Amino acid sequence: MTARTNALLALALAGAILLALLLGSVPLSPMRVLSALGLQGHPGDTLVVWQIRLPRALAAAVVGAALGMSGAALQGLLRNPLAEPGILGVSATAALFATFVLFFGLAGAGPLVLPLAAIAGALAATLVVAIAALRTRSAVTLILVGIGLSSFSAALMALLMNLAPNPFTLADMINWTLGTVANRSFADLAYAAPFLAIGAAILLATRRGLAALALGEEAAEGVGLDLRRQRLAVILGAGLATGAAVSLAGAIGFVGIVAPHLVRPFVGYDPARLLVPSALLGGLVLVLADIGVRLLPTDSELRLGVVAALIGAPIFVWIAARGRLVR
Amino acid sequence: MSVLETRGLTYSAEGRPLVEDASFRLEPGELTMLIGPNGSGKSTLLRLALGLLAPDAGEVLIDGAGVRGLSPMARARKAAYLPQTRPLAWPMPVRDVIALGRFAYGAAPGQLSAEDAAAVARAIAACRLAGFESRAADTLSGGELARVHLARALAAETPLLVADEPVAALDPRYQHEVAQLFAAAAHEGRAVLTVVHDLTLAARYADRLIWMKDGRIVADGSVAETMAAERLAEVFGIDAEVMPSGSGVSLTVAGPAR
Repeated sequence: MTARTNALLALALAGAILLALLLGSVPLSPMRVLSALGLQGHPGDTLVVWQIRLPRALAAAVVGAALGMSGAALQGLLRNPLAEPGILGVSATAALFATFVLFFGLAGAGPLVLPLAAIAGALAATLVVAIAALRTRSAVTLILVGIGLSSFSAALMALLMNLAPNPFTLADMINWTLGTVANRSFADLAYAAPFLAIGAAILLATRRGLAALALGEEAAEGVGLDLRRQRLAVILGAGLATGAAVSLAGAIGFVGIVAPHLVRPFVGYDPARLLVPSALLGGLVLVLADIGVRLLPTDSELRLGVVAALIGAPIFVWIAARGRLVR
Repeated sequence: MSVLETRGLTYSAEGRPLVEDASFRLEPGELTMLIGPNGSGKSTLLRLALGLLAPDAGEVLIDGAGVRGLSPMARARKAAYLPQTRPLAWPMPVRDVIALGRFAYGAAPGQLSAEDAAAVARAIAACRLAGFESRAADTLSGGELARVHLARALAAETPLLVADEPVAALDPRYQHEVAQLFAAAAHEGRAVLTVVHDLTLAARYADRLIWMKDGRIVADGSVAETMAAERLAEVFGIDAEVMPSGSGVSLTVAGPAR
């Protein structure tokens, strides 16, 4: 059943990316898009497809996948369906670190400075949250620590905005807070990709331990799980993947909570088998949301993160209100 | 060779001694019950015996090997552990929960070798869980869930099984059912060590009792040898009458000792 779920989701994701290539402000027929993809078409078409639409769609897919997988892994580690990079303040802290680099003009020092800063922020936040979670073992405390971390990052972000030397810097910062994949290039993707791949590889390699953690930490140790290594792996993997995602798109919340929640019943609630379909669904959700953002006839384009929050926040409230939060 | 041997285990937390100089051995085929009042150090002793806690002094040998030197996987292939039952984080099907007992052999839910699948099937049969395999764990009663956890531990097919209050919060019928399953697991050739609070249950099923008070082992022997009115008064502070009955003893608790 898991294999079929994965295959269906992968197919849907590929279809959504294709759809993203077909739709846009410049009307292109499917034939023209296909020939442009094969580098056979009109140079203008090729430019639109290869420079604008494809990198944007891939960025949305990759960011959604990273957030979906990180959310699923954090939920498995913390044994809580509400754990997620956005809720736990990981995305906000990563965005803050990235903004900090932009604000002081350090991003010019090299193309890797921005992703590294975002990853450092994500790792710092994941570490704080994990320490808090392991000290208290209370889901409520965990969420509160996340809220505190988000608020603190938001406050520092507001401070930086307050001190912004010019409107361009301010506009940049707003983009980071709201989250968008507009105008992403293959170069941007290439700088984030290695960190994302390493993070995802760490999470996938250690996912079996997440299943053991379903029994509780003590019993998981009893069946042979190296608890310290498992915690470290998830913190590192989720931090790398989330940080890389934020460096690409800014802070986009709620994908990591919605995707795992929807696919969980299809993998028998197994936190290990949840990782891959969560990533696929996370990617699918963001690609579709980004198509929506591009097609909505608004004066200034909606930011992807705004749309994700508009869909995701009510679902978060719904999951939280159904109880099972305190264990 | 003993399945488990502890030598002079001592452990203190925040300056308070929790376990002092605890030494005992477990032999295959024996159901040993660890009894003592709340806070006497039983759970800590179990965790020390399994190598999940590092003792301040003393050592533990499982099958002759120092437990702290074993990797978590290697240790889990020798000793299965049932901590005080906590709710599962996710409503997984019963089959997958039991499959987690094979974790130390590289298995995971949905990916079991033929050997793993056979062990899981044997555990399901032993705990009479046939027909429950696809049920979500959160739809089970307390007694059924206790059997699922036991099956998970049995599926590891280890020479040693350690459990912390496996029958707490169960009604009498389930208590006896689970206690019988433990006895059966022991008489198949395992060494079984379990904490039990119910003294009549201990008197009925234990092959051997280890008595703990204030972090120390105060008595160690068969029910007939160690179950005495004076000891119950001293260790538990209860006024009880112990009468020989059949092959064992019968226990009547009158109330707290005066």
